[in-house]
Amino acid sequence: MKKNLEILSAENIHVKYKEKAVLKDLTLNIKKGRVVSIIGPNGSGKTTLIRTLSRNIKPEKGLVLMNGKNIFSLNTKKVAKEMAVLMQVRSCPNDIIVRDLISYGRFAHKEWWQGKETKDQEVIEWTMERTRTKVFEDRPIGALSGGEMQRVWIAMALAQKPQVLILDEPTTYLDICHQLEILELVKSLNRTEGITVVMVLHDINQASRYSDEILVMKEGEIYIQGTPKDVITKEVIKEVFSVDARVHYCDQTGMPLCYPDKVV
Amino acid sequence: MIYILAWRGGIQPMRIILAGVAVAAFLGAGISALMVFYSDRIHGALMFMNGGISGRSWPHVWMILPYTIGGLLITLPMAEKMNILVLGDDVARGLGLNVEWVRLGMTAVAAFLAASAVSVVGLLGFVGLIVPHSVRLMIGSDYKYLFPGSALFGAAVVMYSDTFARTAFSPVEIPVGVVMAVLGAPFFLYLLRRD
Repeated sequence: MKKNLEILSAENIHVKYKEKAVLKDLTLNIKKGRVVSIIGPNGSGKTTLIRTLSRNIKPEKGLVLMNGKNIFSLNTKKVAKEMAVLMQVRSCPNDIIVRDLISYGRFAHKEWWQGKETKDQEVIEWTMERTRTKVFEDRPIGALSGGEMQRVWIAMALAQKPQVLILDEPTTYLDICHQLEILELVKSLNRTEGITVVMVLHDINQASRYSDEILVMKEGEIYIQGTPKDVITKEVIKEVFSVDARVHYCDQTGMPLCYPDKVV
Repeated sequence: MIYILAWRGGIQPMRIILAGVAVAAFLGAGISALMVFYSDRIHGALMFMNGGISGRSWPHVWMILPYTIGGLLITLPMAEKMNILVLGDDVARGLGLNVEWVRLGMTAVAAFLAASAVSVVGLLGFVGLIVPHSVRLMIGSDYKYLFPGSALFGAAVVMYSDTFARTAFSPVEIPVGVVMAVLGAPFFLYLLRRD
């Protein structure tokens, strides 16, 4: 497939919650093989956008296309083979075993009469290897730390063998070490497996460091979309976040870094 | 019907419960009205509402057997889908589960199984409240074991309660529904406190 093909796109999607428009005629394109971060202030519609992209909210108007096909008319299992989603809010019984939870990622690839197929077991072993969850595969979820738990959820998503991975604030509630660990993992999955990543991040500097492209949202619209260098500027930060900030460039990576100074 | 009433662009447990309470109150009013107008024939209705397995025999078993087997055959293969459904709608949908259909289907099967059982033994309400929760406490939340576990443990609980009801104050036999409620209500409150 061509490198620049659009894998996921939204055309004029409009989402309302009660009477309020949360997404206003939003159009976006995500190219195959990219890491795209979505940033924006609270209430700007980031989570609504990725819930819509992941068919959890049906937009009032507009289309969401994956590889050119409308995800709302595709069989939901078929979508799950190509797109994995990890939302921020989730619950799960504490006594479920790590390996079992990860194995649910294979659900879309099985028919209901199939049991534990070797192919599935191989994929599960591979994801556990990749996410370093193998060491605690026999433990119940309730016994894990926040960072370990997050890796397990990513492992589950990875077991779907998706082309697109959608993450909602994957680093929230983690300490800085585990934040980096998760972002490194996501980045390496993108580089080695070619998985397109779409994620909501809160930390502008992390977004800058780990993304090929950043999408800034403001009041239900895309304010700007582009490379970190194009997007992370004094003006954008001020306009979107109402914060005066200095933007410097990292002397090692060359990526923009922002130091927030004060509220405007 | 409760499912339809509780539907509003999606389903929420709280709304199902409230809709259920409202429907129960409405139908309960109908029952009360019937009992007032036909108070001469109230005994049968009372026995039904208390529930019990006295005087039930093989013909009753044959009567509900097809429904039970049918229900089990549908339920058991659904275990993995239920395991995924408890992860929440968004996660389940992300994994490729048709959330609305599975929930509607399982609700229908549950109602069907409950109705067939109730048609024979009457309203033994507390079995349904105590048993699945106790089984979950004992063997965990994997539906592969929860479904058969609940079925077997439910049968056992009813049998023991019935034996107790028949023998405890012999020769007087207390309705097994009363025993279940006396055991069930405190246990239910304990569960509420626990969460």
